[in-house]
Amino acid sequence: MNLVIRILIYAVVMFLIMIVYTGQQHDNVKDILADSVRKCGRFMWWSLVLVIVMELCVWLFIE
Amino acid sequence: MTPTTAILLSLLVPGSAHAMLGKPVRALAAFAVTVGMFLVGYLILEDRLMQVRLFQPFDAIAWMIRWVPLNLLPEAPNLGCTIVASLMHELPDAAGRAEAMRMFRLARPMEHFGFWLTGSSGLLACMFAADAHGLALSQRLREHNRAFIAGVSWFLPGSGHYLAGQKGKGLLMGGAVILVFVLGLVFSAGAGVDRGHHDAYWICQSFFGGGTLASALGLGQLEIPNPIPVRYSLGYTLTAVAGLMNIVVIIDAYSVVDQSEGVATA
Repeated sequence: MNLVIRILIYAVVMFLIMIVYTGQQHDNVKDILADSVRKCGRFMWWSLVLVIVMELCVWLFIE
Repeated sequence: MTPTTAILLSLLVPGSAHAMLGKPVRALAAFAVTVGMFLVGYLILEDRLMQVRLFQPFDAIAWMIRWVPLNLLPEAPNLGCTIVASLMHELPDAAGRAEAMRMFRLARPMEHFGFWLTGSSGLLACMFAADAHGLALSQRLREHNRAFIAGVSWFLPGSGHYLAGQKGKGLLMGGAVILVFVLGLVFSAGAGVDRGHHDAYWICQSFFGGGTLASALGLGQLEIPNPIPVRYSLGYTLTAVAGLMNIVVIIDAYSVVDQSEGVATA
């Protein structure tokens, strides 16, 4: 599967999960959506860091 | 009766705690729903149900699992029924064992619906136990029953919030769960909810009762597509994620009732 499509699916699912996660902390839709976008962005950055660390581990210890 | 006793009694014999707490109609409903669903499911599945136990117990606890099948999830909370089913499950001696094991690995007609019935009976037993716990705490009469709100959220994500007055939040959270579940079905070509093939994933999926039922009834006897689509594993993973997301929605709905009543009485 194309890498762009994979990233797109990952981002969409991450955003939907964040809606449920942030929904516990807010009562109205506007706050939930705003917090979901913020947290989704943050988790995408952490995901990128995770991928880089995993690639580094592969490069250092396996290849 | 202490709240802990109410939970244990309710898990062992659904409705017994309600009856002792002076709620005969709710007791009858709890017994009829949980035992009835398990019985109908068992009649469809018979010994096939024991094929989907999550793990084979190691020796130290094998004797206990033989009597109390805690590895049969999510049915295990319907404790009385699973104990009876486990006691009825007898493997023949060594000579006929291979043939018996081969037979109960074979798929049964309507088995997806049967699995949904037995699995749901366990989850509903939890909700009736939570209700008994609330009654035993001698809480004031609530406008909305928390266990009922959790129950409808289990079947249709977000509906509990909707009934409790948080309509927008319910639609948003419920819509997110349903969308992830539908994405999973699309990626797996409709075959992602299949306990016979992915029993551990199915435990997670079963926390979205309506989606699992729709898959069981609407998609019929499922088969792994041949050739297996590239996104097949993504599909059944996403449906499992949707079920896990719905656990959060159910728990939030359970607590939302208190918040909305607090606002109403303030």
